[in-house]
Amino acid sequence: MNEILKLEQITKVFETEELETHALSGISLSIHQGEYVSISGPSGCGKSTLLSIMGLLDFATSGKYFIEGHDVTSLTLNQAAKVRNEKIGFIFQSFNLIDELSVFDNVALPLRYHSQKFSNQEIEQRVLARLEQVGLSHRISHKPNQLSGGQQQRVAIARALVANPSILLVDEPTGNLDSKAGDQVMDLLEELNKQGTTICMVTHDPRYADMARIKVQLLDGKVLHAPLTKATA
Amino acid sequence: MRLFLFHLALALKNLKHNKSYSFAVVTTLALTLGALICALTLAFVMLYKPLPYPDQEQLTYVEHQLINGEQKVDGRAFTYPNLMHLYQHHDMFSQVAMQYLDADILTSEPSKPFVEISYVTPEWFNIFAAPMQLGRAFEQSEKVDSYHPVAVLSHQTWQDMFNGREDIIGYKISFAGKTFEIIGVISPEFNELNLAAPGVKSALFIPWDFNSVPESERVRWGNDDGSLTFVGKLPTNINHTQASERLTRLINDNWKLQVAEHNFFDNWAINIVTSPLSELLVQDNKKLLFLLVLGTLGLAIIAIANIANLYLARTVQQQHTLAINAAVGAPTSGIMSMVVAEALILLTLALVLSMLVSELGFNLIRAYLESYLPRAAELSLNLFSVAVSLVILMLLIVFFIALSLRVTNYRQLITTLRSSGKGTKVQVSAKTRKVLITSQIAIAIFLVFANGILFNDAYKVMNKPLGYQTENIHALMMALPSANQGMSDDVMQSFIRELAAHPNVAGVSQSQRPSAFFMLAFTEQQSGRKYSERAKDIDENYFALIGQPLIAGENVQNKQRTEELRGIVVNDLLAQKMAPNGNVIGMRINQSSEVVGVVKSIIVPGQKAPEPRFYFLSRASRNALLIKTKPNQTLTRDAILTIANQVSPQLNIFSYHPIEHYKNNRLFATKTTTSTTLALIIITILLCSIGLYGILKYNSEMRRFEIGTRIAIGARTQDIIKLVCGENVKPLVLGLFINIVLICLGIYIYQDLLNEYINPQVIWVFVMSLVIVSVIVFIASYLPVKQYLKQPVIHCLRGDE
Repeated sequence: MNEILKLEQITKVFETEELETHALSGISLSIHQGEYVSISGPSGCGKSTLLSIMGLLDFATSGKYFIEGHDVTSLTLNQAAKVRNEKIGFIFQSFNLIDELSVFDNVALPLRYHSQKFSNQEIEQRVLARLEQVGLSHRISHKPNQLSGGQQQRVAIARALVANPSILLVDEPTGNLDSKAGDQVMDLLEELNKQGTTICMVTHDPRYADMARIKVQLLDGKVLHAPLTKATA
Repeated sequence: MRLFLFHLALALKNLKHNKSYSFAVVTTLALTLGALICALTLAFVMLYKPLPYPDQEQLTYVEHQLINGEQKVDGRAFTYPNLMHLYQHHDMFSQVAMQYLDADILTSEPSKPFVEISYVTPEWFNIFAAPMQLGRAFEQSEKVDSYHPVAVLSHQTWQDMFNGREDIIGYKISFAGKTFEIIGVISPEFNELNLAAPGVKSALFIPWDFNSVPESERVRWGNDDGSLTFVGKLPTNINHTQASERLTRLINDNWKLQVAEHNFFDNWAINIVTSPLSELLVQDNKKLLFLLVLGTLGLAIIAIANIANLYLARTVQQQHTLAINAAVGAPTSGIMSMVVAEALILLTLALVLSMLVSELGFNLIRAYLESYLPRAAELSLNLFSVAVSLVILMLLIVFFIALSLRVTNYRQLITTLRSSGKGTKVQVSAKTRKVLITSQIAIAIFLVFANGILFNDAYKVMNKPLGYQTENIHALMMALPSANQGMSDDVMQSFIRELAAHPNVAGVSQSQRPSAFFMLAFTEQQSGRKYSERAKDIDENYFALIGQPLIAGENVQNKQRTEELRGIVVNDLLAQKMAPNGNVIGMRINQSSEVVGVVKSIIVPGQKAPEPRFYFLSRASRNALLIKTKPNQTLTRDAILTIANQVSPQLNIFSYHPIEHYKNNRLFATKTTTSTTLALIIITILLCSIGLYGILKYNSEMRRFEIGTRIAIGARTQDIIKLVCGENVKPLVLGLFINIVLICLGIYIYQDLLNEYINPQVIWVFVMSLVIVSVIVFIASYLPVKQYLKQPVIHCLRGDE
């Protein structure tokens, strides 16, 4: 299996005038194609910070980071945006859908920012296919606030998938959902993984963390427990 | 009530912590509302406030129009005999008065001051109810043809020139070779209205008989004089149309008889137009008032939109505090009073300051614009200003309460707490934001455009090449020995010779300053065509001295003064008018003159275009001189007086100024317009920039997560800039459309008023205004999102500062 992400000795230090906080200390981690990795740990252990760095939303203080073999440790903001757009699909706890846009346009957004220019027909095909996949093809003209929380998160998943990313980075996907909707979203993620999608999910819920095949546990910015993957073997 | 007072105290404390917010709101509102109150008060005083004289609605101004053979108005001033005829034979006014305005040197005073003098009939004091500080006003003893040599002083003259001495009554003053006994001093409360020159305050009042019109001119039926004015009280049962008709008959019939033997006046007529005195004072100022009110209103609207937007952002910022208050039991009214308390404090403070700003504006207007705005002296914070301020305050409070109600929904407040930031946030609706942005853009384009046109127009006039030189040239006017006695030829000629011989002097011309002309009628002998054109008497040195080029023929020659046939010089425009090919040399004028040359036309400072003019030979005794000094040399007033006294003791200086001084005076209105409009453009741009930046910053803060999300899924810097700028293209286009509609409508309705400004350049000014506002919009769109683009996107998504 191909290596999608590789982190080498990643540290992240937050500095204020009076305080220096080590959010991450020497994290090394690899994720390969088709894997389903969960990162869990107590509040403040650094799991969201780690996911932000993996998603190029933030940059590490030191260490090396590779995506599909390319060094992405020190990209410009625009280069990082391009990599995010083409290689990474994000799913946020608070869905982060744009209220003014319809479900269709929300899902199509990554394609509009893509370096490859898609025709309207291609965009429509891909968006409809993804909405079909998450079971929301009948809601394309709705606005996000007309949908339930579970449905909104499924739209967010469709958006994350539409540009065919190498990996889905998922941040507490059930945090804003009731248990039934949460279960449905988790089932959908599992289904996607079975179809070959690589997933890395941050959660503090042990029940959902257990659904992943590889479980990484963080404590105080360090990996407390990580089973062997091909990369660390 | 106690709760509201508590909220007021709390709001005051909060505002102290938010100094920049409070400062921005109070100063912006105070400045713009101050200007608005000032403009509205000025408009009220000029348009609606009754004149401060008894029976003011009956006060009537009588205009004397000289209608030429082409049935066009040739002049709007009285001829002396017609004025006297009207005064003696009118049968409809309950009271009438005549006034003649002039100026002279008080030779009895050691400082030889030059003062404004009004020659009036006794009724003038009754009509304007001039209260006396000392002594008496003119009475029957000073009626027309009584020749009683007395004088009344203005209060200011009494104070400034005579140090307010108590024994002034009976004191004698002299000017123009005559002595007058002071019989009274007018009270300082009197508000003098000078019909011939609004804004000019007379220093002295002298009985009508002594006016400076020479005896020879007093019987000329065709020469009009702008200093002659007539005012009457028209009974309420006669309207102005009737009055005009009856007076036209009275004057015209008699005039036609008097000029019957002058062929020149065939088909000419006199038309009399009466109008309420109050209207006369407004006539020329309506446009200025209209623009002033419109401009300040536009600025006030921009400012209010800015403040509304700051206020909304502040209210949204307070939501959490409000929610906690609601949660612990504050009723709806309590929440509202919390929201309104801050607005009330800020608005009241701004209103009080705005009154101070308007008072400052009144002082500036009184100081600089009194000669243009006749009633400027009456400007002050009055009941009207206070009422306007209170109405504005009430409207603003209602407006801000309505805004708060839109944003603050009591039920939602509880939800705000329950959702603890994970649910929906309270926001200003997108519609409200769009309306605010569009209105700002529309008003800004309009104000920049309107002021741009006025600025462009005034700037062009100000910088127009005059076609003559002004450097090192002074205009000297010598005082005539007495009102009805001319200067002697020999005295004047030897004075000129002595001046020219002075080592500092490069040249002397016996002519008035280049910008002074008067109307003169003449007949071209061959065709019999009559002309009434601007004229000036000059000598042979004039054109060379001021550098006005002769383009054909010859100059006038001083030696022709004694000859039967004298040469005149016309300018190129008059030459074109008289002969289509411009070949006018040799044309005979009025039997005694012949066109000998053509000069290039000049522009009189402040005018947009040159006019047809002609120049004829001055008399040898002409008392107006132009003196050109050598480079870096000067000739003082004292040096001239010394020369004058050596030539003749009767020679005295009436006025002596550089011609730059007259040029600057004539350009005063143009310069004021240029600087005012430029200031308004800059203020508009500043206010608009601050306002749009404020609202777009608020906008981008509300959209922080959306922008963060877009960046997270791959949007690049240029995508976000394109997005935020693109969104404001719609309000920009809408603002543009509103302006096009408004401008077309304005041109349609106020065609007469705006006609002079309509030319192809207007389109460029409009395009420039659009470009300026567009640039502001795009900069204001970019700056607030810049922070999101310059740091890792996680800060944007997390909501870090």
